[in-house]
Amino acid sequence: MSPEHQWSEGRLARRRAVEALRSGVPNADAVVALGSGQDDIEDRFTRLLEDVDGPRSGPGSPAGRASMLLGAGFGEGKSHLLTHLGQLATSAGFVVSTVVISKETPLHDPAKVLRAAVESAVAPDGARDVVAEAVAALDTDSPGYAELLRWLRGPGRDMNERFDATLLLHQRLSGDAPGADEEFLDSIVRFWSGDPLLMPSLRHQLKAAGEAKSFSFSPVKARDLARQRLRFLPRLLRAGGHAGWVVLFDEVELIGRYSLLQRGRSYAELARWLDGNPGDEGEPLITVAAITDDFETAVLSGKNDRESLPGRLRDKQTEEYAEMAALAEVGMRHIERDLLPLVPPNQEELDRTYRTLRQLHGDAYGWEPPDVPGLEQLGATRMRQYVRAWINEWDLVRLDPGYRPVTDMVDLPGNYRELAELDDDTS
Amino acid sequence: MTTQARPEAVVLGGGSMSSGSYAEFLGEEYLATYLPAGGGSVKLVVTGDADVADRFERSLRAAAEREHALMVSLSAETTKVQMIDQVFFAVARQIDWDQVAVAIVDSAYDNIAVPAAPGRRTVAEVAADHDLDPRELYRSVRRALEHILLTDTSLPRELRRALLRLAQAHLGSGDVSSAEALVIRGWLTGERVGLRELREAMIYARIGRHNARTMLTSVGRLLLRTGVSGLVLHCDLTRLAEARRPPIPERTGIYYTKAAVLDAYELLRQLIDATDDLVGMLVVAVVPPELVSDERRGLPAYAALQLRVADEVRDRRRTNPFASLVRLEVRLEAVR
Repeated sequence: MSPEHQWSEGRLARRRAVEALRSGVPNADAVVALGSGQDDIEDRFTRLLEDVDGPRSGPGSPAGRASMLLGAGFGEGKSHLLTHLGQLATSAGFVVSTVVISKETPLHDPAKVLRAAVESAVAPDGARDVVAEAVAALDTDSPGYAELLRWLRGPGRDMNERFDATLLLHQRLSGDAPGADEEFLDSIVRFWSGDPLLMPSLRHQLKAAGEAKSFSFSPVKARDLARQRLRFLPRLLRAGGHAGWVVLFDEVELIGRYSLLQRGRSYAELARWLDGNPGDEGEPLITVAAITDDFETAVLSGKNDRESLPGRLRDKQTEEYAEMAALAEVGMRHIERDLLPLVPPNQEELDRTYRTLRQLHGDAYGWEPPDVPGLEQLGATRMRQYVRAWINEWDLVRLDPGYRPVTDMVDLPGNYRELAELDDDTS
Repeated sequence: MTTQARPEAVVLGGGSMSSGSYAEFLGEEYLATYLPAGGGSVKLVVTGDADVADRFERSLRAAAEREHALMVSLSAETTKVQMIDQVFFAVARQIDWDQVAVAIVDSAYDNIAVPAAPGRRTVAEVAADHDLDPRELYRSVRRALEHILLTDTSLPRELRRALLRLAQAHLGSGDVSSAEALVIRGWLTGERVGLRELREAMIYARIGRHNARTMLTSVGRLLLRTGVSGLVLHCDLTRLAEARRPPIPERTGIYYTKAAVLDAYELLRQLIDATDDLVGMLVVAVVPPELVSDERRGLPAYAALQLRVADEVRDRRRTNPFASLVRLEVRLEAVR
């Protein structure tokens, strides 16, 4: 059998990496091979991982949620870097979620975003269904569980009572407790993950457990419940044995194509994701968001959001919109002032990437790729284009060793033109 | 080496291949080795016209058969391709779930060193063949099944439970009747089954948008266990290009609003981003040329997908058949 038809796990991984790189999407194996080339950002992130246990307020300590906002142009390595940071987090024992802002996952809808974060969550051992697995690992006698309870009844006592009630019922019903109701236990896990919980069911179970009078439930909006889940879940995951939760946001610049109102909501949600809840110390959650570095110019200035948007929201003259306006201002300030720029690759970095990809392609297809010219190294050329050009040329030369590729490039710039269909929530 | 960025005519096109040669290429480079080894990929194929599309589909099916892969074809005319659960159900209806269950049962018996002969998989039969106590054998094989399935965190929880029930139905021990197995298969294929009946299988939720994607990306993995070399999911998206609905008497099948078209692109985008999870699965989405360049309903309307598939870098003279977007018997399209 020729080397081309022999498959080891390593070869499969490299082939997958090449497949992903053809689409310009990061792949775990490609990211491991290439690294990030962003040492400063990596060091900052590593410190956040290490500090997750400590208080986030006090002299010398950053206040609020551990978070970062990264910026670079289209195709300049943001997704690749996010994947790399996710790998660092996984190595440190964190659950990692990647949320790509999209039509289906609009940043202005906290319930959908939370749902996407939960669905995309991967545990350090590679398990999905992270919430269910963490719940299955809960030990009510463990310090982690005690910490969860302490928080829920202390700093987290403003949380809706549904969380306390469901945690209590889970403790009572799970394991070998008599009368265990598998279906209701499953519905608790799904509630924590983002599904609605039928209140008659909850009340029935509380009554059966003799706790009917212990809770009185106030109405709560879906978006508020989503925000509370975001406070509850990192601690639940921690109690289930993980170091915490890292949520990575990609393609945040899509919010530039929303309508004005939805942009306002999105800036407010961005502020919430980056800043968290005041007073929630020791929160085992880190958020990292990536946005294009021209967003400030193109949208905050270009669409005059900075100046006009808060006023337009306040003109609605409701408390909800006043709060939204204030938070939107915070969100926009983050974009203006807190963007950590990615460092463009220098010649050495490009050469290293070329050598690594050449090796990767060779290992994936069981051959020795020759040198190929690729794209001329111009300042405007994006890393994604370099990578795709090299791989394209090796593909062609592998198919015909006598061929000399000539690569053309077409620039596909992004745009921030408003797209009405992004506001369509009917699908 | 020459590099040119062309600001005047933004041509999103490279060369073109014949439908037969591309299908053959996919058979050799993807279906023969990469998919069976556990790989996955998503390709967007631009076909010059309906005849090219038909020939490509036939050639791809022939290639799949040669390589012992299962090819499932969907059309946007008859399946709501913007809805991941509908895509999953359409695929699930063409899966032999019994074959999947049998493969799992065989693995369980193999794991406890009591192999089952073909067609003799009930506990009673296997016990008789190996001169074992059926009750002890049942306990052992049941444990083996649970170990294989319930600890396989690569599969969604509900799917693990569903497969466990389907496998148990083959043990003949009365745990799961054929009627219950029918309910499970109905759940998998999107039929209306009662939640009460599902509860008995410890399945508490229907398949919907929230869990269908992981269900779909699990199918290839499951097929590999049955000896099939992978799944080819062929999606004809031609209908997405139809912006104007014909008069009611002339309408056939599903028509898509622009919002629904973008949802379909989002679904493809998610599959591309989940390439690592596409074990044993090749997704081939077929589109007409106008969807590559049309700014209202084509790829330019959804940058997230366009940036992933469009050949922003391409060779001046040759088509790369490995590319994410390949043209079959079609002229270059130009877009302003």
